[in-house]
Amino acid sequence: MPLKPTRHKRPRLVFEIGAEELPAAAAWAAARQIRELAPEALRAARITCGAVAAWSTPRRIVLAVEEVALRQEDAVREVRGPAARVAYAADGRPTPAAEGFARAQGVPVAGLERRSTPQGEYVFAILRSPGGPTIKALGEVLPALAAGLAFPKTMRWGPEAVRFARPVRWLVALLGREVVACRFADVEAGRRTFGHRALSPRPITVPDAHGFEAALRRGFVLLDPAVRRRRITESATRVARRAGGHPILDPDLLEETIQLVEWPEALAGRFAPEFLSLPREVLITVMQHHQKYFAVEDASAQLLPVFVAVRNGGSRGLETVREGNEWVLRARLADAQFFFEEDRKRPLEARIPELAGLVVHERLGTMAQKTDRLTRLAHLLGKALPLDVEKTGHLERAARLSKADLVTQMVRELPELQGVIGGVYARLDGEPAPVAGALREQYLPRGALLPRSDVGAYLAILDKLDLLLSALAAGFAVSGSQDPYGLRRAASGIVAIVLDRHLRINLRTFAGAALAETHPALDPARRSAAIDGTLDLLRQRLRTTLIEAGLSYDTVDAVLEAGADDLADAADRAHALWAFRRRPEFSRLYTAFDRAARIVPANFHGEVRPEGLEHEAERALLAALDRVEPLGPAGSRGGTARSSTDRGPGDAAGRYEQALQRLTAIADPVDRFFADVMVMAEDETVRTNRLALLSRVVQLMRPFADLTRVVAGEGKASPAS
Amino acid sequence: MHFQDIILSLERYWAAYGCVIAQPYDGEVGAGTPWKVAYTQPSRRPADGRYGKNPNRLYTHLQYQVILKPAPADVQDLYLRSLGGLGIKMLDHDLRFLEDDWEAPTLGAWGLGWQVFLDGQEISQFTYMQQVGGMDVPLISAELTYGLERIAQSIQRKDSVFDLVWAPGVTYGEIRQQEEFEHSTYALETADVAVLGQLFEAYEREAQRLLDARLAFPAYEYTLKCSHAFNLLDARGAVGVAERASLMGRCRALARRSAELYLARREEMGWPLLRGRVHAA
Repeated sequence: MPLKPTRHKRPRLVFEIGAEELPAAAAWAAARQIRELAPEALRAARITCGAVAAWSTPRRIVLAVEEVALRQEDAVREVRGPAARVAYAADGRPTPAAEGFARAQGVPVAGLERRSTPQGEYVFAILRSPGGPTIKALGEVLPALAAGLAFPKTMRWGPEAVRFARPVRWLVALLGREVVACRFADVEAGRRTFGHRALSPRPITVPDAHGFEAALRRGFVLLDPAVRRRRITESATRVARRAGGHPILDPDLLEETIQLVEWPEALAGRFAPEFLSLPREVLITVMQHHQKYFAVEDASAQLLPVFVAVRNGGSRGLETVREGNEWVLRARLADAQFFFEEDRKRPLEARIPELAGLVVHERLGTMAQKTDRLTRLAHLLGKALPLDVEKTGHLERAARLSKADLVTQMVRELPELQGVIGGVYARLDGEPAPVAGALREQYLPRGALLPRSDVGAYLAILDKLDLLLSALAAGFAVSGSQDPYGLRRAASGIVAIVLDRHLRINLRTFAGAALAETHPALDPARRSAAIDGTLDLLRQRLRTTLIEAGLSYDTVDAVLEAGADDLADAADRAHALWAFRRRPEFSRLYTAFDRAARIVPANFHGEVRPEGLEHEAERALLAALDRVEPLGPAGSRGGTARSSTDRGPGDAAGRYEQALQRLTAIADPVDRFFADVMVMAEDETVRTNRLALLSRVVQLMRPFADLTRVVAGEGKASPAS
Repeated sequence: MHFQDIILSLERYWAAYGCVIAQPYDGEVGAGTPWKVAYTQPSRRPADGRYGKNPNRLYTHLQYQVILKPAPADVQDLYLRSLGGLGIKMLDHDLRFLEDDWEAPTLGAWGLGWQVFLDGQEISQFTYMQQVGGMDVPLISAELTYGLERIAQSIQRKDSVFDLVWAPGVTYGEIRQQEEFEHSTYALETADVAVLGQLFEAYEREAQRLLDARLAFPAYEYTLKCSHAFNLLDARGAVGVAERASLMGRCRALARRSAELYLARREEMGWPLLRGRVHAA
């Protein structure tokens, strides 16, 4: 059809990729990616424009760019020709070399420019190619953007080799009122889109990119996820309030729900109050995970026999939808009740033998073996920390019961309840509260959620440490971005818990003892590979954690170089050094250590002989060295769990920082020593004695950090925490 | 709508679309064939047997399968219109396509697609098949699997599958409950583990022999029997730790060889079903 000229000087661009229902995560990711990729792609195509935005729904990914220039900017390219002294004669007239170059580049010889370069002065041809119509360039930019979207899982659906998260069925590409001619995934772009599947089944023609959202809205599609989020939370809250409560708006479920609906409408349904006798966790899991309903609580946080479902569509037939959902939930809850009653016929303890039939992995043995290992590790950790008899007992009991819920009907049917339902059953079996709590917390951390109980934290650490040691002892490796057995995740879980609780333990020592206990027949090479591998992973995760907390990488590396087997202590040292670096005294201390470290050979050994010190500056340095306390760990090394008054890293890091402060007393004597004394004396005895003195300076810092890794002047460069 | 009318409605709908209305695979578990085809397939899952006592779980359930190859661009609409024939109108319900990937590890087959939910109830599986027998498929098919009991329960509003009205005067339970009870008893209690183990071995040997004799269909039939023997052993709780992965691997190897042989035979015959329709991708 004939196109009217656009009403806007700099029109709006809309690009819509219409697809069959995208997975929620894919819909979120695609909008984020296209918004990030578009500005660079437009810049590369020399298209100037205003704001860039992107949105998605289950059936579409939409990019909108405001105020797009109708023509590309001109491209300017400079081509270097001959050297100026070759191109021009002494009188300044161009030589045949210049004329030839200009001809070859298609520019007049008078248009050549002289430029100085690092190699000398040269002539340049300035080539301008005028920009073409934007709409033509977009014909290449848009399909490339669509093809550049990455999804964790992709598929083919037609004869084309194109892969996407789900089949692409239509494309809209409009610059103002004009269609951008292009193709992607065997689909020709046009001005035809689709509204809501049920409420607006016919195609919608979009006359102008400026009215795109309004056109979709008339087709019962709310394009902006933020608008759908608001509509969902408001209508869910409203219908729950009418039922006497408020919805538990689980953030993950909310994110997912936003990408399951284009026109959300919440409805409240009911279930029989008898089901409220099921554990809260079971009810919530059935509602959230399986039915994607929001559970509803009253003001005192008690669950009500009510759920909120979010329908994709309007209010027509809402009664049928409610009835259907109530009917489904009743069947689900009846199932759960059946599993619960079956499971409760035997205590958790009685299920432990069945774990022999559950494989962790071919090379990692069965859950029965894992249970046995965990129980031994619990005993070992109780001794190592040490824990009191009662706590050790609780930890061993929790370890023994930890996997028993994996063979319950409830976990077979609702796997996301592992651990949680074990905790519920343990409580009902009459196990001590710390044991039940630990079962519930053993798989944490999840997101920001960390174990809160002591026994839970210890069990969670042991569960992960056992995975690392067993997997690495069995020869598994972590490489690149691949982490199929979750080893990196396990390591970061340990780091998070240890730092959260400021748990002081030398994990290298403990890992060695653990392997000796759980894998006594392991050959020594495998054993040390497993220990080194485990500690390496922990150290990498600690490094990442500290850098993400805002410490500069060189601060972290300097500290980790001095040892990271005690994670909490390493973190304290890093925080202390990071704080101290920003004080004026730091550079004096740094200089003193750096000078000493540079002059003392790495393999130097030797004791200071005080009687051999000839110089006043030498004796002053020795006296200063004798006065300062070494920078050892703030707690006893390899040591005990700290009292609850020393939970945060703040105290210990603060003590380290004060110790660093006191250590600056060494700076003046070191300066004087270097000013007054010639270290590399002719006489070997004198030289060795002076090196021994400096070696003591170096030794002072050794257990704390390797300051040579600190990049001078970097202290202020990183963002503060 | 009676249970049998649901099947009849689907048969009529897909026949009108141009599907060959086929008969189910007459062995244990379902199997795919090319082109446009539709049929009711009994599906046996020994571990799901509940003696005919659980209102929602069955040893054998019935699914209506439609395979469209290649997948037409309007396949979702085709599916939704077939529901219209069952009296399910989208405007009156909440219909969702929820991400779900299908995989049969013993057969080396997988695809991406959705579970279709009707007012919170899963009623169908919708899959774009990507690999079969461990091989990428050149021509992508769409497989629609209607869960007939679930759909009927939803339409008839029956809490128990056994209360479904199959035909006037006859319930699902009257026709199938005894079968469920006996099969469950067999799979969960009575099956002779030693015999099943021998059967697995024998089926496997026979499949291998047939593969060597280049008989793809019988070889695949014995592959399925092998896979079913494994499922029975598994339901009986008789598959040991290390055994499990190894038995599944052996099934997968047979499936792969069967698929390769079938392809080779079709190629030798010049792809008869493709003739005059599309060019092989």
